[in-house]
Amino acid sequence: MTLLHQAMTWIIENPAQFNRALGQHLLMSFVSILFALAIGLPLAVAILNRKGAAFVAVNSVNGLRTLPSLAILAIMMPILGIGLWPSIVALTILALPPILINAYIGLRDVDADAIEAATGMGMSRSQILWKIRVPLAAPAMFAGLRTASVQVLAGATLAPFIGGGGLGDFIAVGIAGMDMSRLLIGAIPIAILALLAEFLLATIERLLFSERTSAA
Amino acid sequence: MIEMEHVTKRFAKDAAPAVDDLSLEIPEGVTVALVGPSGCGKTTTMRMINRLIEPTEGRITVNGDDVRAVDPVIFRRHIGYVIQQVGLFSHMTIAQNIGAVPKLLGWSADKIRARNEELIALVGLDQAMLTRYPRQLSGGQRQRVGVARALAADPPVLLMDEPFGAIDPIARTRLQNEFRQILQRVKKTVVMVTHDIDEAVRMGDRIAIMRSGKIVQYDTPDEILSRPVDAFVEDFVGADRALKRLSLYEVSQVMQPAVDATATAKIALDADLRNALSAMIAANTDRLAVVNAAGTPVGSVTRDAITAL
Repeated sequence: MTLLHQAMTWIIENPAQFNRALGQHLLMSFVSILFALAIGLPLAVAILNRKGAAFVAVNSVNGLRTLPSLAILAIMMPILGIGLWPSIVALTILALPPILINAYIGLRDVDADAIEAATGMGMSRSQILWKIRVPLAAPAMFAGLRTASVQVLAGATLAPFIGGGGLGDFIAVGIAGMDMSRLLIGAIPIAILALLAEFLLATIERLLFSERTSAA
Repeated sequence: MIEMEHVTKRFAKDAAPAVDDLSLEIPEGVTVALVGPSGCGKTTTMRMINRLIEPTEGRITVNGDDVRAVDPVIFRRHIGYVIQQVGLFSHMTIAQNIGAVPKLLGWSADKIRARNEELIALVGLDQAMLTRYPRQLSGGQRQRVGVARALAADPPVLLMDEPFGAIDPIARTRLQNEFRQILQRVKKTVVMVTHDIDEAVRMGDRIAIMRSGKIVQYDTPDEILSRPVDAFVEDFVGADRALKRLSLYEVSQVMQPAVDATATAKIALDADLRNALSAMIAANTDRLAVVNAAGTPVGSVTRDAITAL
């Protein structure tokens, strides 16, 4: 309890420093998710009808996923140096697999009868993609976004190791100085952020898709 | 009117043809059931009409237009298409599903709405269904929506691939009878694929029995059941073909107007002769009193009159 109290007190006494770290953390996470969506969703569409390309793309991002986040950060350092941008690149790589794979599988496994009916009634390939495949795959894409968001918010904790800042700073300092209360200043808000993101996105998902999936 | 002239389809160069030099003429407003064992080429034949499959050889015309001369995507908007699993779009309401083709054709929202209301009534569903989603409907209701969707832009031709295959047997017979009436009312040229001879007899004005990519017999249900051309057709239509044939006729068609006071058992005027014969056997009699919907005797029917058909 005293540890928590110390942590709270520190936050109240140093709001500027805490808010700066929180802002960095959110910015880093948000921008990387945006990048991952901007890369992952079009890529999923592009590889939809190309089996070979799909195999390469899915396995490449899966390969990237097996790399520990810390290793990705370490690899980025010599290439991009230190600071916010290398962290964003590393986090984008972290967010890409769930977004790409969910979107690809969602688009690929859309109800074959719906596609058959759409073709038979005279929809063009692009109409089938935009009017049938994408909306039907939207729940799967959204699930990918949820997974990626939680991973990125938690993964951003490691950014301080390459000078990216964020709430992970407090954890790094806490570990270095064996200061538990300082560590909690970073750890608790990160956990809350991850839970909040999960809750928020789950709520949005329900609002968007509940009507079409509910039974009579 | 659909004409297929010497149409052949090979899926691989050296493979046996799935459809083998097939010629078929389907007059306007007629429902033809393509029927045969699995692998006989009936589905391939149907799918070549709206170019979901391209024929290897031969010519297909729909109302005089060679199907290969037109853009298949535009062309398909003028051909209704119904499949076994319906394939409703689960992210769209029933109204949006039915209005899909009109929307592709650029109809106004008002015109689509009016058409939706007309169609949902035609297929026997409540207007309230229009705002629901496909998952909220039963299998039978979904198939009704599937037919409404296929009819939306009032296409002259309707293709149906095993439309009742996924429906339970009790609802199936009712739906078949109802669809038969709907199809007669909308006067479409219909090509229906089925593996079920009973369904073909019930729905088809004509039946084309297929085997190994060829049409073995193309005739009215009555002809097919009374005069199968070979042992294959005879076997396919079943040993009870004489009884099946009786189900094509109504009591009113062989009734004598004289009321027979001695007849102990009764049969409805619009019952089919198969049921009439069954009633005779059950009552161990050779004659039945025919009654109208109000239960008043209007004539009689004899066993001889039935077997003389």
